[in-house]
Amino acid sequence: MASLSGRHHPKDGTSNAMKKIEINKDLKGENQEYAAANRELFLKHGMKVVNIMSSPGSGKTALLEKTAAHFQDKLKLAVLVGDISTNRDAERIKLAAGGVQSEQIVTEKYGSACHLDARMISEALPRIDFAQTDILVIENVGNLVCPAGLYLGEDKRVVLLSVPEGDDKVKKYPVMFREAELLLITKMDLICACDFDPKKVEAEAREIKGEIEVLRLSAKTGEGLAEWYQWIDRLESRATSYE
Amino acid sequence: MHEYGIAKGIIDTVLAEAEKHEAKKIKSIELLIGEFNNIVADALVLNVEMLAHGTAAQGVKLDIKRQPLRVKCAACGKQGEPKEALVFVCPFCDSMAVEITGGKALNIVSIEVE
Ligand SMILES: Nc1nc2c(ncn2[C@@H]2O[C@H](COP(=O)(O)OP(=O)(O)O)[C@@H](O)[C@H]2O)c(=O)[nH]1
Ligand SMILES: [Mg+2]
Ligand SMILES: [Zn+2]
Repeated sequence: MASLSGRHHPKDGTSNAMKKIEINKDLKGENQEYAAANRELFLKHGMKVVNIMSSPGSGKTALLEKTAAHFQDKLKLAVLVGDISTNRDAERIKLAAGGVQSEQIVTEKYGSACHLDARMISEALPRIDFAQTDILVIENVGNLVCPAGLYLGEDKRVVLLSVPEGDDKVKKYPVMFREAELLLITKMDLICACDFDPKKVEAEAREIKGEIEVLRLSAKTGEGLAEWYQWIDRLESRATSYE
Repeated sequence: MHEYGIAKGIIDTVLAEAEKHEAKKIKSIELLIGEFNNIVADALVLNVEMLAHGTAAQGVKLDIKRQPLRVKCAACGKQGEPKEALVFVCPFCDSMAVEITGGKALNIVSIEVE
């Protein structure tokens, strides 16, 4: 971070009516308020909410296409997809599973934010029919840094790491991994082509967060998807909220 | 680009404060920003300048105080600043079993108005 401390304005004699006002306001407070309100709504309507995070292209939408198709006749699933622009991903999920509610949040109107925040979720929730929703899955904007710090009101956080991204990412982006309950190693079908050691990834993830669950899967071949579906089936509400 | 949202929060807050105190002009804003937030100061300044344009905060100076990241290690028990930015590894024993004990602040401390 380029520090700007010391860049004071000149205290020349012209600022005679200058006054200092103490504010001491936490700028994260607003997000926490929206998140708490979201959380209350989710609890009231008996919805369980999962926040899915990863770098762009790790396979979030591909996994949700499979997941939506699998669950469309089994449980009431709704999906909210965040992206900087275009409705493409929400449309992809609708194409894969017509019976699943799939709505897009375009962050272009929020200054092209590289993450979703609780206010964006709050403003998108009226587009979701709660009576038709048991589980709400939120696909966050592709980014391994910023979304980790923003609680949306969710029950669980899932982080994806795809094989082509490399097995050094846990150490490089530990905040994301320490905030997640489940790590999905995706694109396992590419393991032969890449120098990727899933055991090393699991070990490093556990070092950061002892109780993290890890699953290996491929949306392309279907490997490991059964375990992921079980995880979704077993979802429970979270007792405490995130910081 | 998460500096925009933060800049928006800052400008909204300081304009409301200035109005409450019947100030005509906001000259400077003192911020305390923890490293954990991964904020690019130049991007924050640009966004604040843009949002301040045409308001009582136009031309406002940002005085950014940086709060370093600190971790407490569960393995060796020591506290310190990680060697690499945003890599939460104990600087003494390289363990990743660390708890973040500092660097999360994102506060508007004060403003100067006239
Ligand atoms: N080989 C392989 N490719 C995949 C898999 N999952 C996704 N992809 C491809 O990876 C690219 C990005 O996937 P997408 O779901 O859009 O990623 P997102 O940005 O995280 O939503 C697309 O070209 C997908 O076809 C997988 O399991 N195996
Ligand atoms: Mg996507
Ligand atoms: Zn240590």
